[in-house]
Amino acid sequence: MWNRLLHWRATCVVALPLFFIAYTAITGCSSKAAAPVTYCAADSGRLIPLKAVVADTLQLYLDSLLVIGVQTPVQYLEEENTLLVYDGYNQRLLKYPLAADTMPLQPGHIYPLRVEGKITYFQYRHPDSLLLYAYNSFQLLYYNMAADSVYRTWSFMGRQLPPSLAFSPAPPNAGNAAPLIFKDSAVIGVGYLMGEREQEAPDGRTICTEIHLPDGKVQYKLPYSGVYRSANWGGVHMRTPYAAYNAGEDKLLLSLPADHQLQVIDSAWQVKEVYAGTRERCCISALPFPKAHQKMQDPDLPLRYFTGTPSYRNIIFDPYRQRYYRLLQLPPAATALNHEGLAEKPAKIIAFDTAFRYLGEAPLPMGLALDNFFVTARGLYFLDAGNKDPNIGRYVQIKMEL
Amino acid sequence: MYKLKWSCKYTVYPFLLWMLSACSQQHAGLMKALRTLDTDLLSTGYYVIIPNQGCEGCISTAEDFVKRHYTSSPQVKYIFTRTQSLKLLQIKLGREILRSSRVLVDSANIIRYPDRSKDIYPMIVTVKGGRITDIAYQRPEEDGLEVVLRKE
Repeated sequence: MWNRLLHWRATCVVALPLFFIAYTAITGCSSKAAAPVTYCAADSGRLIPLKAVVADTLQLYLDSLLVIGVQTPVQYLEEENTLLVYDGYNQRLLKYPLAADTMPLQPGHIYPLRVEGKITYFQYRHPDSLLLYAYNSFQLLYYNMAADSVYRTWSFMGRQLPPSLAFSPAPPNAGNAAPLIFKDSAVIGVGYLMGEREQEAPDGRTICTEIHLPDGKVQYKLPYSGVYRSANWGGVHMRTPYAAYNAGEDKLLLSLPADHQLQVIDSAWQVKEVYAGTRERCCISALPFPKAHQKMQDPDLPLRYFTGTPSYRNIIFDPYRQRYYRLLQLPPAATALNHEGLAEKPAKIIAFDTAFRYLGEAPLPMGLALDNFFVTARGLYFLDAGNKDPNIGRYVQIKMEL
Repeated sequence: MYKLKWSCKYTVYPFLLWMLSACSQQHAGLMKALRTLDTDLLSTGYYVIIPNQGCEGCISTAEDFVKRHYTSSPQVKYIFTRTQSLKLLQIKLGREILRSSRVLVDSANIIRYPDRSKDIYPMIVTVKGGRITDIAYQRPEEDGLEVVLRKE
């Protein structure tokens, strides 16, 4: 009797944990697997290969206080043919005349500004209206350079709501590649929040914020496009929206990294999706496991995943040639990866006319700071991130032979 | 009594020794990096390691701490790591601070955080008797720099 009881106890002691391990292994794995989600470029016509060449370089002299980086806010002023550069570490605005014959170009004027906070974007209108976006407070500051003071402040944060999975609006991450859009009675910014949750409601995760200027009322607009309604996109890099504005047609354009289509938004917030992808074979894949998977705890995983899949980037409006340029980044060659599985993603530039008719696409040179660019009558300029001279800011003009 | 002594001799002491060696081995890479960077290695003191990018508020808190305390104690040294531009560091800190023997720059990026998930935060490394005995972080949930302040 005792022997039998001991035998049963021993059986239970050994068998139950084994059964538990086997059950967890089987059911755990099956519930954590995710159906692969991949969006491939549509077969929408013949590839038109173009050549993008470096046609010109601009060298800006940087004084001992100035560093121009990937995210440095810049603005080209057509009327004066000058480039404005915001020095965020010393709160200065430097004006570089681009027509000067001698290189490096010297700043014509340096304006010290009395502002606080992290300014990620600015737009110069007149000396009495320099518009600055302070990212840390999500505020738009109206600055009078003659009076050296902020005379008006607008907040992109509306009524404070408790954090919710049903409603997670993103305040603007304004920058060169996601500019604030100024209309007669409204200012619009686009942005993103980090992270992804299984239970979040896609409609509540909006990426546009509009301030109605007469009364300062804030409205959150537009969720991510359809491709983001399912799957795990890593929560960071594939969630970054890029924007451009065609003032002549009053069209706001949004480029989302995982979407081959562009979101074209009119003044009534009607959204039209337009195919604006590459004509090459190109499939964008989501992460092959759910958002709650323990692998998501690895802080390096989102960047490794992003490196390994194609992703769209900037949408740029060129008013001088009435074209749109969309940037696409592709996974680097396996041989280019470092020991952490990372490398710069080679980029392509895809050109469209203003009716979104495809004009062609070309590989871009490596080493460009894609977030630091401007367009002039001469062409499209990007900051050369490979430049090692700390006293020179070098912009290269990319010319597409259409 | 005999049993206790026996257990200490053959189980507890070896276990403690194993724990100690495991701790020192755990940070062997970091200690080697400190030795490479600092020719005048602190045998007892603190290394405040500040990354160039990551938690912006935490990093600016640490940079501000350097500005206010870099002359306070010879037992505290500051290392800037993953620095992209020496000029930018000089703009943020000032030339005088950057020239101080207590401020070092890991320009070859040899420092590896023992916990990769925390490499976005400033890391405070406590060294005693030439060994790393504790690691704290300056982050929203933890005030690692407070440890340095208390010992000053």
